Parts: sequence; C-alpha cells; structure tokens
Amino acid sequence: MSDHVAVRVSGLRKLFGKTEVLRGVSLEVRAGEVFGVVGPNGAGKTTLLRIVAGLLRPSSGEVEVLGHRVPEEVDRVRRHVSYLPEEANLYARLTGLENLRLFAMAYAGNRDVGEIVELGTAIAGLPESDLKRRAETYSKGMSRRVLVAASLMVRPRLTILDEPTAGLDVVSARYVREVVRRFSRELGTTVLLSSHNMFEVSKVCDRVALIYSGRVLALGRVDEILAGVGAEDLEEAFAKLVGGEGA
Amino acid sequence: MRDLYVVLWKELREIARDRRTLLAVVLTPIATLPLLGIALVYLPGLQEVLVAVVDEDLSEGSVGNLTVSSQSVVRFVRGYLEAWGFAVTEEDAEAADVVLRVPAGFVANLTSFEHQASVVLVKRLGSPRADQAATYVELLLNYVSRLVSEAKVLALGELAGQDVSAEAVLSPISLKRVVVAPTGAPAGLREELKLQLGRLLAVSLAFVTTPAASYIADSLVGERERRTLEKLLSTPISRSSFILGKSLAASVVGLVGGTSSVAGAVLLYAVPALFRPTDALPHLPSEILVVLFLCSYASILASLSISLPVVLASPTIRAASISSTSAIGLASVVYLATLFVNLDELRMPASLVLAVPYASIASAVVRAALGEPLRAAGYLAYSLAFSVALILASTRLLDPERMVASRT
Repeated sequence: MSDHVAVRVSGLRKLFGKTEVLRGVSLEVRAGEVFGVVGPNGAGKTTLLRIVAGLLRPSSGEVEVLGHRVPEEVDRVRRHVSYLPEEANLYARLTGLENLRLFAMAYAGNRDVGEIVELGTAIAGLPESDLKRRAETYSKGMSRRVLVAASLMVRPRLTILDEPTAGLDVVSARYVREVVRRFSRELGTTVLLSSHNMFEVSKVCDRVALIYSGRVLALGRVDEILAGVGAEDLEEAFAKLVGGEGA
Repeated sequence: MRDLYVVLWKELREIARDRRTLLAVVLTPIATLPLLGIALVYLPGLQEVLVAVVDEDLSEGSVGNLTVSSQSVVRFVRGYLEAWGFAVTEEDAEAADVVLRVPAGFVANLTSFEHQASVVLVKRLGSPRADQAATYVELLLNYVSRLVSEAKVLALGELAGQDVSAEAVLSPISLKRVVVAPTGAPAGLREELKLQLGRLLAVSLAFVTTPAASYIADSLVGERERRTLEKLLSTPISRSSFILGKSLAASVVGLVGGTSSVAGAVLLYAVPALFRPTDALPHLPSEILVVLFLCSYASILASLSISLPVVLASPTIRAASISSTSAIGLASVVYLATLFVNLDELRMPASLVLAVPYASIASAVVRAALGEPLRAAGYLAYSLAFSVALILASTRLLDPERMVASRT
C-alpha cells in the first residue's frame, strides 16, 4: 500500500448469521483527506467503520489500515487510529476534563498527557467551568464536542467518526463539522466519517462513497458523482442511483 | 502496565463517585450480620410462649432423707422456666403451648420402691420456642428424677447395711471427655469456641462475594449498555489490561465490602451477648479476624474469576447479573455447608468439592481456627492461584465483536 492510501478495503463482505450486511465493498481512503461514507440507515455504514476500526471481523475480503492488515495486525495500528461510535457517551461520573484525560492517557505513549488534554480542551471549545463538571450534567451537544475532541486531540493518523452530528441541533452540528474540517487539516489527520446527511458530506468531505444495502453505488468527489449521474445534489444523485432498486 | 493504570484510574474514579453503591457495600454486612445474630438469639426470646404446670396431686412424701412434694417440683420447674423468659401459669390454661400435668399419686409413686411416677407433657406443634420450653422441662424433670434416685439408692443401702455410692450405682461407667486439637495438644473450651466461631465466620464470607460479582457484571456489560465500551475497546488499551483493570477495581469494591464484613462479623459475635447478659462475651481471637480478612479477599477473587467468563459471554446486563448471582449462590451453599462438615475431610468423590475455591477458602478458615496455619495457608494459596489463573485465562475470552455487536 502506498503512503498516500490510509485505508484500503477490497471485496469486503460481512454476515451476521444469515444476514449479509456488506456485499463486496471496495474503496480507498487517501491520506489526509476527509472521506465520507453516505447512505440511509441500515446501508452498512456502521459495520464498515467498525471493521476498519478492528472491532468486527470481516466474513471475507481484505482491509488494510495504514499499511497493516485488519484485524490480524490491528494492535500495530491502534495507537494511530481513533474511533468515535455513533451513539457513544462520555463516562457520566467523570468530568469532561477527566474524560479527555482518560483518552489522552490511553493514546499518549511517550507524549505529554497534559499537552494532549490542552489540545482537546481547545478542540471542544467549552468553558473550563463546563469541562470541570461531571459529564452527566452535559447536553448531547456538549458531550459530542468532548467526544470529537477526544478523537482528534490524540493526533491520530486516521480518525473514524460514525455519524458525528447525528441527533445534534443545528449549532452543535455546525461546530462539529467545522472542527472536523479544521483540525483534520491542521493535524494532518485522515478522516473517515459516515453520515446519512447528504448536505453534511457535501460540506465536509473531499470524497464520498454512496453506499446502499451493503454495496458501494458511487465513489469519488461530490462534483464528479453529481456530473456522472446528472444530478444537482447528492440527495438527487442517491435517489437516481437506487431508483432501480426500489428506494 | 500503563494500560492497566489507565483502566484502573478510570474505574476507581467512577467507584469513588458512586457514593450510594459504596454506602450499600459498606453498610449491608454491618447491618445484616448483627441482625442475623439478633434473629438467632434475641428474637426467639421475644416469642410469647405460655407453659402451664398443673399440680393435680398436691401431696408430699419422703424417701430416705429426702422429702419431696408435688408443689416443690412445680415451684422448681416454674422458677427456672421464668428465669429463662417463659410465661408460666399453674392454671390448666387451654391457650398454653406446653402443659406439664402432675397427676394424682405422683409423689406416692415417686417415693415408692415399686412404682414409677409419671407426668404428662403436652406440646403444641409448630413453635420452635415451645420446643425449647418442652426440652427445658424434660431437663428439669431429669434433674429431679436423679435427686430422688440418689435418695432411693442411699436408703436401700442403709436398709441392706451396705456402704453405697449413689454415683457407683446410677452411673457405673464414668466417662471422662478429653478434647484434643488435630495437633494432639489439649483443647479446652476456648479452642472449641474458636472453632465454632470460625465456622460461623466462614458463613459471613458469603456477604463478601456479592459486591465484587455484581460490580464486574455491571462494569463489563453495563459499560456496553451505557455506550462507553465501543470507544474504549478501540483505543490502544490491551484486552488483558482492560479485563485486569476492571477485575482489580472490582476487587477493591469487594475489599471494602470484605472489611465491613469483618466488622459485621465482630458485631454478629458481640450483639447477642449484649441482649443475653447470661452469655459471657468470650475472647475473640485476633488471628481469626486476620484469616477472615485474607479469606475475604480470596473469596472476592474467586467470585470475580468464576463470574468473569460467564459475564463476558452474556448478551445483556440482566443476563450478566443472573450469571454472577449464580456464583454468589454457589459461594453461599459452600460456606453454609462449613457449619456442618469439614469439606476437606470428605470421601471421594465428594472431596472433589475442594477444587471449588470457595470450599478451599472455607477450609482455610476452619483449619486456622483449629490451629493448623500451614494447611490453612495451603488452601488459601490454592484458591488464589485458581482465581488468578482463571482471570488471566478470561482475558482471552474478550471478543470485541461479541461485546460490540450483541443486542442490548
């Protein structure tokens, strides 16, 4: 795998019992880009991201992350990959700062934990008084800001964000999108994010994969996909692509 | 080691902030163990039991140098029963739980050399306290019977012109009871009490298993349900550090519970004596408390090790809780059995029970109470080795796919 490919997925299939959730997914995420996996609920986005994060085993196919086969060599890349699950919560009895400190310690290695937490505090953009409160008192937007900060502050080479703005109000969603865009560039982090929000991926992602029923329908820059399908926006492109499948 | 520290850091902070759970862990044994003592000793005394001692004879007689009347027998029985806390009437009360009827002709037969005196003892079924009263009445009548027997033997000896010892006639075989410890050293009342105490305190270990086993179930499966697990599993923290960190934290919770369990055990021992001034509070050996504390920790590790593989395979926190409760149930049965049997002296195949760490821990307490520290240490070492090995083996059972993908 060349240095400029962060994730390579080839012929990936995943079955849960008799249900086939991924049906031969292939894609590449280039180093330093923000790559969006977009599709409706049940399309297989979360399963794909969990496999890339090394939490699920593929039924067949190959996955390479930062040049290492996953899940076989996942322990060699964990320190360089952070993952934010869709419905993740903070540890309610810890403060926001303590939550940041926990993930900073988990990833620090020889780095200074204090510096990592300081960066996390900046990314979260919450007042210190809020960060010193227990997370059980946080709104969903505040929790999500701290969780996104915890994923980016450790300066991973790849961060995987599953529906990072799901369930957030407009202001919080906008903040998260801006933070992901800005800090991924500043820190040189590759971002693999999933979303069912076509508007969001158009705004944030350099390239996207449209995924439906476990298959990749289209892959490329948003303008390339729109031109290829003859649509004005991703939503229309998606509708045209799945039209033949009864969507 | 750093991974382990990270997990432990998080778990201990969470534990320290869960004050209600901590309070419950501390207070449960301190409150329940003395209550057990009160229930065993004090509560039976509060049950109202009426004993009727009915004298239908109202006569007096003598044998040898002994003069005896039916009224003196009734007064003797009544006096002792009242001292032991029973209500006594000399009326023929229908409501009485126990009735001692002294029939007409009782004294005449009692003092005769040809006939046996008889009394009727009626006991109402269903009350342990009434059973106790009836047993006391039998003991008191045996005492009276023995006094009259001695008087009769002496009278017969006098008639025969023969020197007679009442003891030699009534108890021709004298039994001298000597108790020795397993080491062969003489054992007195103190040693016997120590052993009984050891058995009783082994039962208290059942209280220790609960918090640790419940904690590990909540800590592993609960973290999934609170939606914090997936992110933690994706970090560089190794699986073994993840499991060991949580196990160590659970053992801290168990240790807090174990400490209060020891305190509760002391209270269990002391409280009944407060309610029963007739019982002297015997010396509570400090070495037993030390052994109990060590066994508490061993018991916690045993519960963790037995719960862990099952909890890791549990799809929901409810299933995990039920599984860990099974470990607590197993511990309770084994510790209760220690009251009645030395688990390390059973015949094969029953002796295989010693493979269960709870059985070896209970045996350690009993052996320590019997003054056999080396055997106690051996049993304790076995249980610790078993538990640590099983916990280490369980670290391989952590399957992120099962933990992440199973339905909650």
